[in-house]
Amino acid sequence: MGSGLVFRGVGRYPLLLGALLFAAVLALLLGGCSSTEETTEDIYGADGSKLSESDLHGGSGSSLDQYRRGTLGDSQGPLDDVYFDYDSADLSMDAREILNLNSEWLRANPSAKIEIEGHTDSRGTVEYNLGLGARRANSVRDYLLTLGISGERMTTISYGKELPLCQEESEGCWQRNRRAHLAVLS
Amino acid sequence: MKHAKLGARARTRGLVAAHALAMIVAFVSLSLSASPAGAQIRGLVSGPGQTAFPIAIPRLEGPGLGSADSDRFGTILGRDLEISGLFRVVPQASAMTLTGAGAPEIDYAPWASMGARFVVGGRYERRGPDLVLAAWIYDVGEQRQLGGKRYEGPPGEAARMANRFADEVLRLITGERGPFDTEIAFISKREGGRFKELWVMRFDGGDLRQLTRNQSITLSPSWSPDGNSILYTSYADGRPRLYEMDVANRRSRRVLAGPGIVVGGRFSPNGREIAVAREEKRGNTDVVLIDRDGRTLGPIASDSSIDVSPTWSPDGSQIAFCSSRGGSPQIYVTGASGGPARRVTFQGSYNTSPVWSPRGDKIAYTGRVGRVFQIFVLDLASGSVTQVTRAGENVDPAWAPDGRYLVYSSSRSGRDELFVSDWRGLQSHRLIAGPGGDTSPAWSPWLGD
Repeated sequence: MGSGLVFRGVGRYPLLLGALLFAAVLALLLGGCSSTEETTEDIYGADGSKLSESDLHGGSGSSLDQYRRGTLGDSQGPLDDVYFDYDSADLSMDAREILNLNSEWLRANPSAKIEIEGHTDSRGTVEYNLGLGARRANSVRDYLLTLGISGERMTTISYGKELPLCQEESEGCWQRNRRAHLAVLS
Repeated sequence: MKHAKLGARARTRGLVAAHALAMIVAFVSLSLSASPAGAQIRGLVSGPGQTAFPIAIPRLEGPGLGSADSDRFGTILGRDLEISGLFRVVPQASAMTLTGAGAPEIDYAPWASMGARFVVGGRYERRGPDLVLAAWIYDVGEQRQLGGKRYEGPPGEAARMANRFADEVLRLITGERGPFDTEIAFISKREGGRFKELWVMRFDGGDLRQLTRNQSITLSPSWSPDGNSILYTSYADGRPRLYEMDVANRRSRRVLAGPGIVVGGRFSPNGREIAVAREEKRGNTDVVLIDRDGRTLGPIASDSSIDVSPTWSPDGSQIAFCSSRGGSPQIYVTGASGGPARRVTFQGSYNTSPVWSPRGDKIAYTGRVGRVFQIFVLDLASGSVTQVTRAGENVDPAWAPDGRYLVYSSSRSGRDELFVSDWRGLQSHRLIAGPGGDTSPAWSPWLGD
């Protein structure tokens, strides 16, 4: 599977190439092709026990996994984030342009599956922002569908305001956090 | 272990036999609730924030026991009563002792001379391994005893005895029991700093326990009506699921797994149903009704916009929720079996996280003012809105079981901490010290009768 990955965006990110390849290979070695989808009934830690190494380091390279490893935001992955206006799930022209490029990568890597993550900035309340994140993820999915990407290859998840890339209370930081991230699962 | 026993004991009201030795307690009923003095005071004081009566809380009398329990009783009682907004503690009384507490008449002169309107007298003793503690409150102005209580339990329960007596003092003075013999569940990053976990503590900040160690995202706790369990959402297995935790043994069971979001589960007042926000169709979050096993009972709010944060009216007949159906997040009310929803908030362009008062007449919520969020209370009958908070940013209100007080998360100190205030916000108090990162508080039902 690793050999099937083609980094179409390489020309734009020469310095990232090595890191991306390394990260991809590492993820495959550590996590195989397992997905976090529907893992187990157990909720670890309810009795005070800790997560095992494989719990912490296996899986998909989702933002949550990166957050658990303490590496959130360290690497972008092959697909660029899409940004949103405040309290909006509408796709701007810029966002569509990024998704057009992302769709090229997805067509060039037909076996790749992605999880589309909806994120919000820190303002507002937890539950509403989860709803907003879900709308953002779905906006991206709908648009990629219109570009011919199969729905079978795309799952969605909302993290709301829970996984910010930066912590400052400033418009620049808020904008970075109001994003959809496309995590490559396999 | 001690905590678990305490928790179970506190909650098993009916199951007396198993825990008969534990706390509760014969109340020596010196009931003066029908006395003219009580009635007169009740007429004077209808709620917090009007007048802060000076109250003297001298040391309890008691032989053969270290004074720690006694001091703890006085400290916690005084803090509870100051949080109530009805009292301010007269500081010089804490080094004094009231002799002859429990007698119909006491020497009022020393308390009057320090300006106290009320004085609490009490004593304690050891009975086997247990602490027996009795306390009375006197009206210094009227020169009469208002009432008293006796408590018996392990010495570690001295704090709960103080909270219970504070509840009793509010009942004697205002006619309605105080909200202090309770617990607060909340989300915190206080251990390790990175992961949001579920925590719980007594109202006075004691008996602090970390309930989850998921090292993931944990959100939106709320109590069952019997106080035995807490509903919450966790990404422990990578995706948001609704769980119910038995607080006594800290075991969680999964109630509902979406394909998408499942958050903000709230038990119906009878405990048999749960209203929860769920991603019904991809991207579309609706409020649905489920049973305790996660089976869908029906839709509550199913607009194509964002519908989240359900909250029940105390009679179980209505549900308020937050929806963006009108173009911005606002609070709506609908029937508990669905039906048309009516919008109830009209001030501001971002109103969310409603919580229905246990009294039924008000809804507290989080609303944006300019660039920051504050706590508001809506009076449903009149439509009038009261801004509760102004300092810093304040979010996620939860009502005390008595419907007079609110707990919420505030950034006024520069980090997220829990604060309590009366519902009008006339005064507020930080609930617990710590490194910050405390959010999403949920106020438990009363622990005992």
